[in-house]
Amino acid sequence: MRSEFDTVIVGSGVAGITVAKQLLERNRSASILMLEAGPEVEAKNRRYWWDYVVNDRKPYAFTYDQPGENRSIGNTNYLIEGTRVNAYGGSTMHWGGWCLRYKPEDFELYSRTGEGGDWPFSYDHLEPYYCLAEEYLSVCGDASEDWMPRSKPYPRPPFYWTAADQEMIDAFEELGIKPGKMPIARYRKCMTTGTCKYCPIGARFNAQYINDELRADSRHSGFEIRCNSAASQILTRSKQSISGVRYVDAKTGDEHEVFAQTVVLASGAYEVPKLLLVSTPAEWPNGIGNDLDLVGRYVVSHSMLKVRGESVRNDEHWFQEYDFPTLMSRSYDTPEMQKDGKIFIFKNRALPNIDIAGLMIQGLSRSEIEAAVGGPRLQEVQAFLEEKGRYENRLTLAPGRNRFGLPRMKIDFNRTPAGRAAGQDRLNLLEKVIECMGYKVVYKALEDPGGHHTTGTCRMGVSPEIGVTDGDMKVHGTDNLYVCSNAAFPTGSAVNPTLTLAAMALRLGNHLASRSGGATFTQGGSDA
Amino acid sequence: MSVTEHLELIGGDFCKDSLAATLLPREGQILSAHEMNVLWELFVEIGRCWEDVVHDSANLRSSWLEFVQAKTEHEPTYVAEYSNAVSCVEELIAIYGKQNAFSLLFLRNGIPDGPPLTRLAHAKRYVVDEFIRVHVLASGFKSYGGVNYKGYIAGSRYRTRPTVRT
Repeated sequence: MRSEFDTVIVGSGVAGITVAKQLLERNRSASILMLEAGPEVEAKNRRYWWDYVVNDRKPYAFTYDQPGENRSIGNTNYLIEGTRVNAYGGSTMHWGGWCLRYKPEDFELYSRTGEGGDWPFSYDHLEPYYCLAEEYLSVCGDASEDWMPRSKPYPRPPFYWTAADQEMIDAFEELGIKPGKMPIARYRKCMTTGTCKYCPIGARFNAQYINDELRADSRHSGFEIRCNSAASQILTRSKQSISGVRYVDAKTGDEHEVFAQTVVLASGAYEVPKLLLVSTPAEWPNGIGNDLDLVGRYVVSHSMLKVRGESVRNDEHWFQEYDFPTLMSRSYDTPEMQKDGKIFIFKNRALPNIDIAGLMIQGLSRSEIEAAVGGPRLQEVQAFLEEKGRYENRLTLAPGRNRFGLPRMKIDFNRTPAGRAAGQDRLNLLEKVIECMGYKVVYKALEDPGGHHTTGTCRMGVSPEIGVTDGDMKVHGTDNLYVCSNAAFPTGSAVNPTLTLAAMALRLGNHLASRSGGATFTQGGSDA
Repeated sequence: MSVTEHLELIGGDFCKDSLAATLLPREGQILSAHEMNVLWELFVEIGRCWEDVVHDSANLRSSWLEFVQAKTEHEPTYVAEYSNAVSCVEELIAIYGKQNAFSLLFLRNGIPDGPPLTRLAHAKRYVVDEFIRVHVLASGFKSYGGVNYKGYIAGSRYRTRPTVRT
């Protein structure tokens, strides 16, 4: 089995595969090994899909973190179970495809508010990579919207607002909230099965498809993916020089060492800091990149705000038709809102909804089901609340390893009184939306932060005193160890991070290619 | 909401035979053409009972066949469950007559809530209930005013009109 490569990438999600793809596009004979701790769960399997739509059974659910595997120890519960897929293709196996850019002020959070961090570069610097990422992920969006500066329109037209969106659009406009269309990633043309969590035809972007294509391409004979292979140590030649990675083959229990000129950690905001912390060669007794005790700190995610309302009747017989929201707004995701907490507002993707089949299964007659479909009707407005990275909030190692051979962890996340008050204030705004629709509020909550969008555990900073990685996402104090993950983000903003992650991966691919003398992307997206 | 709570379990000795709740083992059998015909009839009767077939159930046959194929050719296989359901349906028809048998099975079966512990409960849980879901997502939802639904695959990928109500 081969043990020497140009590049070893830990993690097979969108970040890792995007870097690999770029390196292979510049040098088809490049040798790249990708290590994936989880198994390969087949996408586009018809039986899996039928089980999903008929029995609500997700084929990758067994790879979710299980209760008891990790611990939340702060004053606010940090939800981990069900938030990430530990499998080939990573969390793009279950994501909804929402693709939102961060805004210029998100790159200057500390300068503007005295909280969180600043990025080592501006939005303008990343903007060309956002354009590339939107093309790469085939984002469907509304080019006429002006939420932030953009040099290119979206590559695909947006999805329509649904009829059920209209009453919330009217409420938005009455309250001065500008409605917008949700930008959604599509790999091939969507046939709207309403099942983005497991698409039977591969329409929603999934990193697994890129992995498969690269593996199947005979020009890339040096590209290899090893699943069920959990990285357990980063290996060093000296303090600055990383030599490779040790991993455990879960099927045999055997340990292997692989060596590379460059190592890229692309295994997400939990596994990247964990791998750095468990790697304690003599030169790095506190973990690689952790001389200043910053690895794992500044952990943030989004907290979800929800206000649900009920109307008496559903004369239009509206029910959920897509499996993703089409209505959103960034009117409270602005520089003015940054100090007190930005929110990204969107309509609940699953409401209104009537489980017609469920009523039939209960034995209700046609007329009884007609009555149920006709009312009452539920609608819900939701928002992600930006949490700001704080030194005290951190991820640390817990004793033992999980089913995949990955270290267990503890997350110490504490919400401040000011943060709680900001959440309540924003919740009151959402309540006005529901009331403005003429609905009776039946549920209102600032929920616990969910690990879906965790960022900040190995944040970038211009110096080692500020961040674990530099502006190129290279670990400070090393020559050839990179982080390609949400972990490197100094801020989480109020929106989903995946588009920004893809942009950062494209940028890193550009950097690594130029470092090795390869061609680089132009802003037009073609090889120079 | 359930109308089955205070009803007596329908069927004869076969339907009332006790079983573990878990999926029945396959034991090597395949589905016969006769069994497939009975299963298809069961599927068609769902549309008839709830009057939610827009044109003709035959239009849904390819979706139904693909579902049954996926359930019988991949693990865990439903072959034994389907075979059991056919026997239950045949016993119900023998006792109540065709029209009443399906109506009772769908609406007034007397199966208690909880894990399926009889042959009839297995037929309901693993076959009838899943066929109902296939029926609704393949077309039945349209009769309630919808254009799209979870699991519905909408026509050509080259369309220009929206596939939801706008």
